[in-house]
Formats: sequence, structure tokens, C-alpha cells
Amino acid sequence: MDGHKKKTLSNPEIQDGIVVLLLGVALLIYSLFKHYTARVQTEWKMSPYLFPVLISVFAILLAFSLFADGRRVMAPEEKKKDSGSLINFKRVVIVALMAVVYEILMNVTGYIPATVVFLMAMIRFFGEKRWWMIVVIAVATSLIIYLLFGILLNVRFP
Amino acid sequence: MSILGVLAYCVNIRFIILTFLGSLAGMFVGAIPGLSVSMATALLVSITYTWSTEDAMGTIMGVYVVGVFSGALSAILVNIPGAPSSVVTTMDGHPLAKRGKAFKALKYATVYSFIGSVFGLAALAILAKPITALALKFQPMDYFLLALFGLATVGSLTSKSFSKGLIAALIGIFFSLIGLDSVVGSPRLTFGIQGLKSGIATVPALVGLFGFAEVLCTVSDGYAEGEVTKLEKMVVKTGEVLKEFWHSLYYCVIGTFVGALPGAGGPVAAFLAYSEAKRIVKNPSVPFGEGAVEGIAASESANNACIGGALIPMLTLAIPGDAVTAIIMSVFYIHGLQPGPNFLKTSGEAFNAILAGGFLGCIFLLVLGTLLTPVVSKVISVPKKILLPVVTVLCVVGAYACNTRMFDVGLMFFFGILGYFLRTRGYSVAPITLGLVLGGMMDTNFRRAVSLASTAENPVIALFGRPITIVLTVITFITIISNIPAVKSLRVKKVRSVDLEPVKAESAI
Repeated sequence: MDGHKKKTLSNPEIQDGIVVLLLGVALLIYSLFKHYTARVQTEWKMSPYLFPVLISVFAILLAFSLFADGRRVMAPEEKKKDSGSLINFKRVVIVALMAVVYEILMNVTGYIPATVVFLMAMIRFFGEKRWWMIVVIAVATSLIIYLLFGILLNVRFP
Repeated sequence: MSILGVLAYCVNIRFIILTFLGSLAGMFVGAIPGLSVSMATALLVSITYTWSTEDAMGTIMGVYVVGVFSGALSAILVNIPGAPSSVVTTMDGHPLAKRGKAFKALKYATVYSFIGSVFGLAALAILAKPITALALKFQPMDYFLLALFGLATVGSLTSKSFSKGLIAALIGIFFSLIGLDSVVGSPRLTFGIQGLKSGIATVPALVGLFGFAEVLCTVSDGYAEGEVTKLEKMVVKTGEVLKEFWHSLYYCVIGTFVGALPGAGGPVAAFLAYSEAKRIVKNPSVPFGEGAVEGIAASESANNACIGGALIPMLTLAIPGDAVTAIIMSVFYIHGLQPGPNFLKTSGEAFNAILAGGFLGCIFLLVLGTLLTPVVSKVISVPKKILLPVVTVLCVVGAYACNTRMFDVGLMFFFGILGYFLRTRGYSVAPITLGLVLGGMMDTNFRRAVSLASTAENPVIALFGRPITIVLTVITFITIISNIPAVKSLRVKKVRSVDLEPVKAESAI
């Protein structure tokens, strides 16, 4: 019985169904709460929360549809996560974090220094070993993009 | 509209040069991931502020026509659509490019984008009045049903599981509802976040879903050291390419008609045409989704035909068909022109300039698409260890440039990470895009329809009683029902039993 339960929960469709169900219920409660506690009461037909309620109901129905999909297909055997996919996932996290740091850095140092540093770090991270190449690409790309957006298209960079 | 008036612009050297410059800009803007036609057009509004209306129209039409086409270049070569309307092109374009036939895919995209653009603009010139008359008959409920039909079609086409396709569409609709409510004007689903009050801007969301998510997926796949799709020249006979010509005219009709309906633009047209291609092309070169040129022809002819179609409601009803036409409309206002029912009578010159700019843009599309594609592909075909960081910077700058606020960069990251996780779990991001673009329109029209029907004697008849509404309800219902797994498996069983009957009969003899 425990094994069956474990197998069911390891099914991606069932997992997704649970998430969608929870989000649908949360959106439904939030929308109903917001509608009935609004300062200015409106009829449902004009309420800003009519459509969110409809979406939440659809989401709940689709969650059950996912459960049905999950039950129809046999639960896949638990896949052992190989070290390769874990390393790649770590790389995804690192790239995402570097991008966020770049956004913060751009606010502090301005566009060009932040972009040069970010590009150098990223190109190096992706495996380019020649430093002269890294510097040339980072500086040239930053300047070309600045020329295109900042000068030609009049975008004001931070 | 007078043919001579249009021709006069077509032989005006200044007008030709400006349209060419616009087309050249459109070629790169559309092809480079992170840049979009709507963003470039928006920025052009400030540049062309001091120009004459005709010059501004020529340049903008060049960007528009060639930019919509060149979205297919990045869709084919990098699997990142330059515009939402090129999403469908990725389905067959990129698999074909992966097989080493990128040149063939690009040639199909160029030829059918040209055919689509010419068809759409010709339709704008000839059929503006009849199509406007039909579009005028649409009521709020019809717009809602049309969008719902589009989402159901997208959901069934883009994901292996229909439920997952619809969930992705719901995610898009949810995000479209964030911000100030268009009917009541109160903030909705902002959760107290100030930056969300103005809603989710489409450009950062699209850049995140298609640009940054692609970067993360590529890193996740472990191909960071690999090369992007190379463009190797190969002989592709024009006769072979034009085999889909007659079908493409049908896709062009779909594109023009869908383009003329406000809100339902290039993405819906491309998906509908693709769906029709799957139905009418019995023996594609390879199965759809694996590099079928018939799929590229359908998508590109329909989304480019939308250009002419989208201009019809904008010029005659002052209702823009898509984001770019909304921006073009602002150019009219800046120059003191009033789009609407009297536009053709009062501003014939501007209408001629739009048509001339559009047709010249089509010629430049063909020329640049044939001659410049290898150059553009070199811009894209750089090693991934260089391309990925540059694309990330373009994503950041592209998201920032639209409204020049860092909050949009944060949104772009959010949508990028969301897109990455959804894609790894088998959800397509295309329905999210469509939900995001159409959600607001669906919400407004649905509430308007319900509100109008509530005052009628019989609300159900008021909502669904009109012939157009009945047709739309039936096709939407059929699309949804036919994609429910239980109904699908019943249909498969039925087909199998029909196939087996002759075998049984033969064995009985």
C-alpha cells in the first residue's frame, strides 16, 4: 500500500495536479475574499474577480484531468538522478544567480561596467579560456549594444 | 485608395530609401533574440516624430513587414521566435535546421512570408470594406469565444497532453489579469506590489519565456559547449518550394481574416493555419513537428498575411489588430490624423503611403531574405559559450528598454525561470504567450457580454443566440471535446476497427 502511494506521488502528472489544485483553490479563495471585502461593492457581472474565479474553477477541473492522466499512464519507475543532470541543474542555478547579480550591479555601477563584468564572468563560466578573447568580446558586445540601444534608439540606461 | 497614388510612392526615391532602411532594421530587430518589432516600432515613434506622416509610415511599414518575417530566422536557427507569431515556425523550422537543412527552412520561410505579406496587403487594399462590415457584426461574446477557440487550439497543438496545454494557457491568462482592471479601474491581483499595478508588460514576459528560458534550457541540456545550428547553402529549387503555393493561399485567407479581428493576431493565425495544414496535407515531407516544410509554409504565410489584416480594423474602426498596429495608431495621433470609419476618405494619402510602404517592404523582404540571411545567420551562429551570455545581456537590455524600468528586468527573470521549469515538465510556453496577449481582451469582453445579457429577457439567448456566436460556440466546443483523452481514445479505437474490418473480411474469404 505504501509502495503504491509512493509510486503515485512520484508520478509527474499527479505532482503537477496537486500543485495546480492548490493554486486553483488559493486563487478561488483569494478572489472570493477580495470580491466580498472590496470597499466598493460591485455585482458579480462587473466584478474584477469574476474572471479569476472562472480561471480558478478551470484550474481545479484541469488538476483532476491531470490526476486522470497520471492514473492512465503507468507510474514511471523512479529514475536515479545521474550526476550529469545534477551538475547541469547546478549550472542553471549559477547562470540564473549571475543574471540576478548583473541586474543589481547595473543599478550600482551603470550599464557598461556591469555588462563587461557580467559577460566576462559568463563567457569564462561557459568554458572560454583565452582571456584576450573574453575581454574583446565582453567590451565589444557591451559597446555595440550600448550604441544600438543607447545612441540609436535613445534608451536611457541606469 | 488610388493605384496611381500608391505607385507614386513606389517610385519616390526618398520613400524607397526610408522603407529600405526600415526593412534592414526590421531584418536584424526581428532576427536577434531579445529585440522585438513592437519595441522597435515604439522607439521609432519618438524618432519619426518630426518627419512627415508618409515618411514615418514608409519606415515603420518596412520594419513591420520584414521584422515579422525575420522573427522566423531566430525561430529556425536558434529555436527562439523573434515574435509571438513565429512560435509555430519553431515547431518544424528548428527540427529541419537541426537536420542540416536550415537553408531550406529559411527559403520556405522567405517565400511564404512574401506571399503572405503581399496577400494581406492586397486584401487590405481590395477587401477593407467587406471585412470591416463582417468584423463590425462581432459582439463581445464573439471576441471571447474566438479567443477561447484560439487557446483551445493552441493547447491541443503545442503540448502532448491537452490538460497541460490548457493549464499553460490559464497561466498566461492569469498573468494578463494582473494590474489595473480595465472595466472598474481598481488594482487586481497585484498583492501589494507597486510595480505590478501597471500590469505585466508583454515584452519582458516574452523575452523571459522565449529568451532567458531558452538560455537556461540550453545550459540544462548540457550543450553549453556545442555550436548553434549552422547554415549550409544547398540547392532548393523554386518549383519545389512553390508546391505549397495553393495551400498557402488558404492559409493567407485565414491570416488576413484572423488579423482583421482585434486581439487575435499573428499567433492565433499561425496556429490555426498550422492546424489546417495538419488536416489538409495528407502526406507531408516528414511528420509535422519533425521538420515538415508544409508547417513552415502554413505558419509564415498566415502570420505575414495578418499584417494587412491587422491594419483593416485599425484604419477603419480605430481598433488595433495587434501591438504593432496599436503603436502605428499612435503615430497617426501624433501627426494629427484620426483613424476610423472616415479615414479612407479624409486621409487617402496616408493610406496610400501605408500600402506603398507595405508592398515595398515585401520586395525588400524577398531581397534581404535571399541575400542577407547568411549574414544574419552569422550574427546568430556564434558558439554557444559566446552566444548564451550575449543573449542574456540582450534579454536584460530588451526587457529594460521597453519601459526603461528595472522592475521589468526582474519580471523577465521570473518568466525565464518559470518557462524553464514548465518546459522541463512537458509544458509548452506558447499557450502562455497567447493567454498573456488575449487574457485581458477575454476578460473585458466576457464581462461586457454578461453585463449586456443580464438586461435581456432571456440571458442565454442574448449570449449565445446569434448565428456567429453559435458557430464559434460549436467549433470551440468540438475542439475541446475532441481533445479530451477519453474521446480521443474512442476515436482511435473507431479508426482502428474501421481499418481492421477489410482485413477481417479478407481472412473470412
